[in-house]
Amino acid sequence: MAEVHIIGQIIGAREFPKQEVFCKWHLQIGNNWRVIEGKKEGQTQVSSSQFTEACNWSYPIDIHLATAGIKGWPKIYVEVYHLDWLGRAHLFGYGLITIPTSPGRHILNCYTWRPTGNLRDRVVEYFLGGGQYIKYPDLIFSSEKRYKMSTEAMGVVIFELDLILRNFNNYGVEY
Amino acid sequence: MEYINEHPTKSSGIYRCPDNIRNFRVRVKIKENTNTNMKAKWVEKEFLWQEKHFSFSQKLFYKEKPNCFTELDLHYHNLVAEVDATTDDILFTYIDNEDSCHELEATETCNSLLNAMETVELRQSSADEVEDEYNFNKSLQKLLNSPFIRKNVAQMCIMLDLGFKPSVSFCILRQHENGIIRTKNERVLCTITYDIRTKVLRVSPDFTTTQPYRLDVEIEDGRSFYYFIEHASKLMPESMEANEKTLIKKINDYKSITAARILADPFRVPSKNKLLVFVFLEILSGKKFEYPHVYVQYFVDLPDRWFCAESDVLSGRTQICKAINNDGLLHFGHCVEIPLEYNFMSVHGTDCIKCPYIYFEILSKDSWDRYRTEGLTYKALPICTSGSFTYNLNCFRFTSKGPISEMRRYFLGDCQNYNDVTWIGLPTDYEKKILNKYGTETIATGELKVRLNVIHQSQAFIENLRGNGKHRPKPRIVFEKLESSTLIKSVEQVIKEFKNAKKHLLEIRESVLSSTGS
Repeated sequence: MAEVHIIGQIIGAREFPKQEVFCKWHLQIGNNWRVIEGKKEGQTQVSSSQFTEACNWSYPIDIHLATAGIKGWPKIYVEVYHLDWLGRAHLFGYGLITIPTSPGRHILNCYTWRPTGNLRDRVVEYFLGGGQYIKYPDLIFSSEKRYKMSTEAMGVVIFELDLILRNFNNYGVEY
Repeated sequence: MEYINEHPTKSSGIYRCPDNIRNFRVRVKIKENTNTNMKAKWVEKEFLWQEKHFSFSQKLFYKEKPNCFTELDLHYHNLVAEVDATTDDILFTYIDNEDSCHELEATETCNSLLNAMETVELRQSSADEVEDEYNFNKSLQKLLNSPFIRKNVAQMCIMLDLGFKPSVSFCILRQHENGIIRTKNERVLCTITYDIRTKVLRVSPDFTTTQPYRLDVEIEDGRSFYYFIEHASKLMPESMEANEKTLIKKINDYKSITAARILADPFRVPSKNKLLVFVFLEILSGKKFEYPHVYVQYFVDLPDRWFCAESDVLSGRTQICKAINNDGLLHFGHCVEIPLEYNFMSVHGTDCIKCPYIYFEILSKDSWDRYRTEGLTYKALPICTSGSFTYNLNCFRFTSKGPISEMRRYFLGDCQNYNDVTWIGLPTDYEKKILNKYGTETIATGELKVRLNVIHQSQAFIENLRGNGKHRPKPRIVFEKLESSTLIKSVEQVIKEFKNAKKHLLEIRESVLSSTGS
């Protein structure tokens, strides 16, 4: 049994069109993987910044995983939402990053995007707010079906992760 | 001249103390510093954790039954009755259940908060369920219920008794006795705090064995004391310690066994003749492409002896992304896992492993379904070393001179105006001495950012098989590692044995055939 510790933070978001954003995240792992300790999903607070463009969350991540194979290496999936002045949450972006495979400290940028609809949808969105959602989020994880979507670039979510790998040497894995 | 600090500055010592705190014992040695040459004796006393020692004034106080109201007072009254009231100890203690102990520490806690805390605890104990999955509403509720962190600490103070003092200025606790108001004159020598939950012991000031601390009592008095604080807990007998160690080892072993049990399968190790290379490809972002609706198409070109079990991940494409801002920034965030296998059954000593290449085509699609090539780029997969790599790949696209091609691109789209994308790298069918790309016109376009994570797995890397190779510096390049291993040799041995067995089999067969023929 090899083990992986993922310790770190979701530092924050930048380059989103508006402030007051929050993010839901969860850890995607393959069938060989099990969570020993720690929460594998969560939600940050709503954050906005008075002086800069960036929103800071500093949301802690601390997960201990066990694995019986490299296949299905953990990925972090994020959904970023914007909370408007009426208390409605609008989707601002989906993002997916692979946890690095080398131990040590990593600063990772998660590039997010959101689906765009047709002209009518955009007109509706302009006047009423809201946005397009993906009905089946499986689409995001399967690289084969993804090409059908049309999307637009949104902001960047920044992760700072420290990785500890353990016992991989016993199985001839070099990282 | 060097200034020598005779008396150590007082600082707290923090200790982890997983054992039973009841066994904790501290020894205090104290001596009054006199100006005359009279040598004062060291007064020495040992204190157990939460052991009550009375000062002279306390003894007087608790001896009188009318003074005692609470249960604690009555308990002390009984204790004082047992001890000899006449002995004059200058060292005494305040323990955790006495209010004065906490007053000394000057921790101010608001009563209303404490009350709230208690009600919260009651509520929590009833509704505290262990849940596997994260439930946002419940976690929010919990968060609202316990907005502050509770300190779960026990405390004890070791005090120095200086008798009574008629002035009010140095009042810590006032008491009424024989009709005269007197203030007690006492000083804190040492505060010991123990956090029951985290099992952390704080000794303030820290233990000292070489240099004594100095305590100055009021300037007008001019008295000063030297004192030591020593750790005096009895050490565990050796046999017990050994016992404990084996027990802890057993517990840890059991824990690791149960931990291993949560996984259904053991860790998969590839067969002996295989090198597994896991490539985690992330197409992150792009910028500065001409048209706004862009997607990326990639494919991995595997040379001989490479094999991929899931061949459909060898090529793929991202979603269409609309560019934003002046830079034409595109976000893809596309993650792919490519498990590659290299079969080195056929390695002949010095033969070099051919490197697989990955090719990217950046294409754009507009509202009239016209496709245009926005850029082409490639990268040799960094299979030689494992680790994480981020690349900014610069792209170009093919063009030809004259307005016709420009117009064709504008009106019709110019998707795939080339036959073979591998041409941009090292063409596969190329055999001449010099790679000549003269006569092809290209235009530089934008930039693509990709990240690659690479992991190797092979039996050759298993530490135990390497024998005494542990002390050697690890070679960074995968092939060196393979060469340095005993693996290739063993593979050759297997082949040799296989050949021998085959030869043997053929001989037997021939002999059988000949015998049946005759």
